[in-house]
Amino acid sequence: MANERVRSEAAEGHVEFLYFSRLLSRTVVDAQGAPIGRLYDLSIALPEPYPSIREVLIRPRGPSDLLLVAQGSQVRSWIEDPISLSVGIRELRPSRRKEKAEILLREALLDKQVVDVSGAKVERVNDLHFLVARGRDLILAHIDVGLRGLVRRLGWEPAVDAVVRLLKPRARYLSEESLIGWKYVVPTLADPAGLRLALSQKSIATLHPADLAEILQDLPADSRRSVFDALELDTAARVLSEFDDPRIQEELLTEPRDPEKAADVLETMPPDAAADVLSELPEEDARDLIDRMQPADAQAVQTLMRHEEDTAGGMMTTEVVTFPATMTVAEAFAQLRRIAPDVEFLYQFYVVDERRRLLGFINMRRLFLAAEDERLGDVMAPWTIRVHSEDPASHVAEIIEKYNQAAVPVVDAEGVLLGMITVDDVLTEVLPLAWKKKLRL
Amino acid sequence: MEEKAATLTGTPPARRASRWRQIALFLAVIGPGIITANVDNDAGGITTYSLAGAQFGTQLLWTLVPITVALIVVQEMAARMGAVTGKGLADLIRENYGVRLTFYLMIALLVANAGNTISEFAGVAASMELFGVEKWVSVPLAALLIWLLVVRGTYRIVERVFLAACVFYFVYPVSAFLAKPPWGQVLRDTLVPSRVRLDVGYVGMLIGLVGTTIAPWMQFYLQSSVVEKGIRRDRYWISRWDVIVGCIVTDVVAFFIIVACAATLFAHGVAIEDAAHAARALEPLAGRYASALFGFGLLNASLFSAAILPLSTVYYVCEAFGWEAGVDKRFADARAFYVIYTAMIVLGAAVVLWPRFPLIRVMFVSQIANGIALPPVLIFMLLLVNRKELMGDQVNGRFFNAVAWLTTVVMIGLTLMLVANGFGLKLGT
Repeated sequence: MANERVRSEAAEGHVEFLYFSRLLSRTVVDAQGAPIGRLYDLSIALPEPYPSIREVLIRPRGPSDLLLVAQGSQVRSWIEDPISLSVGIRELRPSRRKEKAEILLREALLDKQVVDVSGAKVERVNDLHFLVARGRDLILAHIDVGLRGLVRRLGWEPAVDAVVRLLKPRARYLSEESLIGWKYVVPTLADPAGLRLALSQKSIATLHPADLAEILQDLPADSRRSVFDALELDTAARVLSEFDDPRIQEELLTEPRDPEKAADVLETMPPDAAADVLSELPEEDARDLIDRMQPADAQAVQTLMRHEEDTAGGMMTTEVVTFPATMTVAEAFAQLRRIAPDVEFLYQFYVVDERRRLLGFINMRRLFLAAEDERLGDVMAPWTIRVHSEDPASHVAEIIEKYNQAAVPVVDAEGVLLGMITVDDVLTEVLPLAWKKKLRL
Repeated sequence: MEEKAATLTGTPPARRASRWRQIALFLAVIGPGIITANVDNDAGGITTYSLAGAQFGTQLLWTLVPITVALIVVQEMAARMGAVTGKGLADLIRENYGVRLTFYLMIALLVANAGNTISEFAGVAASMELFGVEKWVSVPLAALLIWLLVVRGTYRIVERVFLAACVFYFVYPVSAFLAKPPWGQVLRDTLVPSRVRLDVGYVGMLIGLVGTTIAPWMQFYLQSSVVEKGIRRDRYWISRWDVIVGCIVTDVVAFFIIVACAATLFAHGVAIEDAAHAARALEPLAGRYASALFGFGLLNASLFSAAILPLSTVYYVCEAFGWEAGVDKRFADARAFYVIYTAMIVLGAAVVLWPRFPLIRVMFVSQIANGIALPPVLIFMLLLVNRKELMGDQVNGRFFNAVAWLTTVVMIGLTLMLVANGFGLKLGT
């Protein structure tokens, strides 16, 4: 269908679409019509949202490996076969090493894996789809990941199309193009600088960290590393706690890389998530990373790591909001507003005495309903829902389920508040591991 | 690498925890090499070894040493590429040599492995018949079992079942000892090539032995499973041992199959046609147990390979074309994966049950397809493993390269002879 439309528009002389597979190996002739060689590759500038072709690499006839370079603007027409240039063969230079800010389409994209941000999937590029404006400007518009692209590359498109049309005229194969807009495509380049450029203008940040983690899991180790390294600290921290497979966390934190940056990522994570990740690492690596963290973060993480993994102490986070009983509701709101950006869980707060013993708790809802001048000691829930740091995970789950709370405070034998456990951490603990651990071959 | 190995053997008391970790690490990494190598001793392999022992006694035992070396050289490269690049072989070939070559290679492999799968189910049928179970019962049951294991099971369970299956290959050494072979001569013929002949029968069998040992699918399977286990450069040294031990174990099993058949069938001049036939013929010569064990080994090998072959095929075909694959994916997401996998098993089982199916002709086509696929696979592997931009400092050394190329050239020569031989046989009949 897309093809029909394309053809009609082309007839009116506006735009036309072209596939990379049709351009590759086409003969290129110079201004005088003398053949130069065959089209070998095209390059685009990286950070452009709608990149037009910058350079054309031409392989002259003969056995040599030499490639000649023409500028994209020196192409007279992309639509005609052969492709003709507006310059003479003598004006072309041999190709040099490519710049960081550009990628070669055949070398870096064709047949390679890319991340499709719109579908949150890893795909393999079967073909590239260009838009030709005024016959002269070639703009990279889509990548083709479909079966038809594959068939086209094999050179069987006319035959396969004819057969399908005969057997099943309304086949999805004929009507649906599997094209992904270039702006949603992140190439998995090995070169980190280039990748950072490629990522800078893509909407990879719009992906949920859980989806991003799944994508990274599907990528080969090298690409996974470079995509992860190119992520912003905050995103990287969220993604890291989403991996089901501790081997990947280990790989991303301990492979030869900047250990300071790994420590930064861990600092950005909530302490319980950081502790979970660190406890899966080899002891020496974990110690090294903890040493590089900010002292306060390092201490929080170490406290958590001392507890058994499937006890309340091992599941909790130390990041809790506490207030003295004498504080007023208005003061509490003022303080909350100040600390909110740094706190992950803002629905339950604890009232403690001067020795940090738990007196009671306040849910956000209760705080909203209280009068401004009321003391927190009078607002707080009078009953004492709590778990002890040694309690098993199953007990924590029972408590949360029984009292319908989004979180439960954790105390030691003296009733001193150690941390809290949120419902999502309980879910991870009690859901059967089978579905998480199903590894692929 | 040396440093890690040192902490594994030297044990300062303070590092006990670290030593346990090393052992845990070792157990976590092994598997791919041993499993791949053992699948190699499938129904077809056992048949070839039985025939070699029955027709030539211990005369061909010497070939096992160079075959083992060649197997290690090739498999090690596949495992290394997996650990260093983190990509499967089909993946690397597609990315570096384009879609067209990859496509035709995949077609050849699909045909070859469909044929191999048929022969595994034929092995199941024949070995179960030894124990009095009709193929109408055993083959559909086996197909269902294999299909469920992979589609319903997790990879961890699957791998554990596969590793357990490897253990059952010990039945062959037991069979061989029960057959009371002349050990002096066995040892001599293993170490020194003697009575080498150049007639069609001898050379044909030699080619058969080599061809059955180094198959194209193994390289894809091994490399993918190394990648999927997440084995990386720093742990690769463990994987290398996994590969070496796997290859040696495989050929030790082959050795005992040949010895068992040589000491009994060859010594008494009994002619056999296949492995099940060999098991039956062993009974009056080596006793009921040797025979039953031989048959049980064949059943185990057939089931094991019938599970792995279709699975590995569908994995690398999907990998090459960018289709979603994996036993943890839903049917709607990984349609191609499930359809091809199921089709291969159904086809394999159905063909064996089809009364007048030209099994021999299909096996012949499968063997030709294997032969056609092997040279490009080996050459691609050697070219890829020597690429600095892929492998960094893990490219082949000069000496290793010489051995690898020599192996490849010999393999290609022998395989082409096998194909030609196949055509010759075909024309002759």
